[in-house]
Amino acid sequence: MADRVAGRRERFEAVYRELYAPVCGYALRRIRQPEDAAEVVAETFATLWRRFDACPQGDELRPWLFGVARRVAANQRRGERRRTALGQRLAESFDREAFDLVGQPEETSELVRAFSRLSESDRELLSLVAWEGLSRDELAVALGTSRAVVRLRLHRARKRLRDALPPTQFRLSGGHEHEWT
Amino acid sequence: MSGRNPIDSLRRLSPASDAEAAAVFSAAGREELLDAVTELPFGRSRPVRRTTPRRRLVLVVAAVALVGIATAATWAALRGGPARETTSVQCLIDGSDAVIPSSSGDPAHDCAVQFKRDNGTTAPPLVAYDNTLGGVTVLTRSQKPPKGWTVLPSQDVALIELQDSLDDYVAGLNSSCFDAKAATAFTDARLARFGFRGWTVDIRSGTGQCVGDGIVDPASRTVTLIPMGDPIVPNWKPDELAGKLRPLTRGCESLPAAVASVRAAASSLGLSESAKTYELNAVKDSSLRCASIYETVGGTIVLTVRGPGG
Repeated sequence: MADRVAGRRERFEAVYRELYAPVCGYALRRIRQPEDAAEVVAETFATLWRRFDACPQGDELRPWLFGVARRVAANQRRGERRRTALGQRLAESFDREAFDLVGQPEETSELVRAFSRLSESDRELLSLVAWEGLSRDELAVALGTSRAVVRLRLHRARKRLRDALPPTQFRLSGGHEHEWT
Repeated sequence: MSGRNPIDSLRRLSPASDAEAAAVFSAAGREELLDAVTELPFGRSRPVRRTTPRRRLVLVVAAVALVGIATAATWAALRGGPARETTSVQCLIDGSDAVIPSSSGDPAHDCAVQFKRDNGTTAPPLVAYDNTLGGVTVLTRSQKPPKGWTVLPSQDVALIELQDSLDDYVAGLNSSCFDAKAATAFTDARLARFGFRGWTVDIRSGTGQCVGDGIVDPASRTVTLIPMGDPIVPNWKPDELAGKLRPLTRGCESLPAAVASVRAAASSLGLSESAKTYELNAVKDSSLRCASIYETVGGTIVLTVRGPGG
């Protein structure tokens, strides 16, 4: 029994070390309050620990964990701000200097404005592609839906983004479809 | 920028790389989190009662532990299984995924109430399941549960009420600054009141002056108290509300009367359910002669009133 628990901890630690930075990235790219971001990171890994024996393994684990982080962040938005002991513990290790390097985009371009006008679900979908670099298959895991639905939603989100941009901003037709469409 | 794929441009707008983001919390924080997470019981899910920055409490740890530790087979057999002994519910309804504290003992009902509160519409028919991870998940009746899940119509109401009464700001551990001795005596009394016999109360070392939380572990029949809170500060809304509610607990009201009194007390402080500055759960319990009132805090103020119908 003790060996089994130790083995579980060891496997979890390996995953934690691999995915800690991506999960921090996911949280801090979306949440400006470091304490709130710390809550998302902490609760995401607490969920992973609790479900470690039942969650996807291999290539599916990373997108699955982004899916967990997405739900944690969504619950946080719905239920105001949470403060938990785990999150608090991480937040107390906050480094202001490092945080100051994590800025909002300097570019106040049409793209920024168009992106901010999209629905939350469109923004999240496009962010998962652009910022987390998820493929279509990985998006299906993160969003808990089928590849066909992902393809359709991506197509629509991308179109809405283009529609929100001035006509000269991007090539609108005739180009190659990007791999994620 | 003309001709550039918008996704490529979005990529350049990313506020931070993974490495930059990870550096926002120190390496020590990263290691502490790893240690803390792997100390949690696993295979269960009692997430998190939302709590506040002021009370740097271990509520989540307590909550997870509460749900998580109930593994002893004999105890499970006696009490109907570990999932039943959890005090939270995961509500997976129409694409939304929320975890809420249990209140009535009927998980499907609790999720339906929360769904109505969040969406303003009646929830579809719901079914609660033991999710094989030691927790309770509620799905719509039309959803097929994963393999192995079994229907779980109820949770242990006494355990839910024990947890509420310990977390309580009106008359529980959060109502004043309990030192270890006082908190132990209080917890012993609460265990007796809710019929939990043969339990022990342990004190864990902590950094705060006041015991604010108890980890309830049905498997080992232990409540572990953790001194993590700070003394009460004045003019804090939940404390003000608790002060208003305290006199109500000394009377003997029916459920409808107590609910009306609680709403009036909250309203007098400018709190409103519609503005989501508090949530109110009314639980009919015919075994009670008088209504009981519990106030817990987490993101918002959660008021639970249990009592006999009018």
